[in-house]
Amino acid sequence: MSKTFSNNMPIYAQIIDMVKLSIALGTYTPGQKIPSVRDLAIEYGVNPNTMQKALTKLEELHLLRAERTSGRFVTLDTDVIEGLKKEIPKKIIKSFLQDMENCGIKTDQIIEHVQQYIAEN
Amino acid sequence: MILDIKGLYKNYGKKPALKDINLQIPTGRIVGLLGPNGSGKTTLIKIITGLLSQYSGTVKIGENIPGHLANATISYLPDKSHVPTWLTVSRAITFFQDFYHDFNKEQAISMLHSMNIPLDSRLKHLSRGQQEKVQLSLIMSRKAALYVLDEPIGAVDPASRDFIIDTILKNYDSKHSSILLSTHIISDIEPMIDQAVFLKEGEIFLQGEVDDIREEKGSSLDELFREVFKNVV
Repeated sequence: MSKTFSNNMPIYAQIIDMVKLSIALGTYTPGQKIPSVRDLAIEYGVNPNTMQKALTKLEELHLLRAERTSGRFVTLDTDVIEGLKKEIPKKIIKSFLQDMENCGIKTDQIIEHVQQYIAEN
Repeated sequence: MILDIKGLYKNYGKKPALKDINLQIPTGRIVGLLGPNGSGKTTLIKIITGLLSQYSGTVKIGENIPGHLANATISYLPDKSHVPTWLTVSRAITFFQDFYHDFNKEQAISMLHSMNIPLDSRLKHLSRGQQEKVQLSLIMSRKAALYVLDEPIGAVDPASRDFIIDTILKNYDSKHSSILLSTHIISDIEPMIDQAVFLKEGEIFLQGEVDDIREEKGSSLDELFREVFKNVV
């Protein structure tokens, strides 16, 4: 079934993030063969050209590896995958800090807010 | 080039309907023709499909100008039903098979099966959403160079909409064909198209790659559309 995309980012960039997440979470295992461009386009409900663009970028990032005749595979490089696992929390924190700042909460108060929330729950 | 339009003008009486339209569609593209009601979408489609023959400028579909030769390579879904509704679904399939040598009967039947549409029902006994699905299935079961879909997702519910997007993506051959589809409900089809053409009062107001537009404007096509046309309709 097609995915939901947010408004403020190019669609290919959002696909890249979704695939990154799949690799980091192990939904796509290291070395696994991924579906064809066409099948992925249908799965995500996007244009095949958009999917192609996203996959090409993922290859440039060494997260996917293309083999000329047999298809595309998830990287076997554990360093790259570990890097990805660290990248995702950073991204979440970044957008969280941005949101807090938009609410007028200063960075040094945020830790206090977080600690208080954790204590209460 | 599957579709090549240069300097196209069309007037209804003295009223201009299309002004200086330039549009090229190479193979393997899904192009969204976007604009509010009355912006010229259907007029442009009717010129491409040979239903309106009075215009100035050049319009080429492959090697052909609009007309019967071009129409053999165009699979066209009109904005109003073109299949007689007293036909049963299976008679409509036979009808298409008789008409179009590039029609794949098995493909149509398997699509209709997957949508749970009974083949022995008369079209008029189906809901509007189901009728749209039947028509789209018939249209997508041809092996055309250009699919022209005029408002393909008008009357269907959101779940069916996903199914229709799925059907279009599954059944078009990006190595040999392209799709031109018109709509005023952009958010539904935005992830599916790669090129957008905005029509405003008969002119191309903006055209480009969807992701380039999103990157440049920092908003979706849908938001941009609402912004541009908020004072028009």
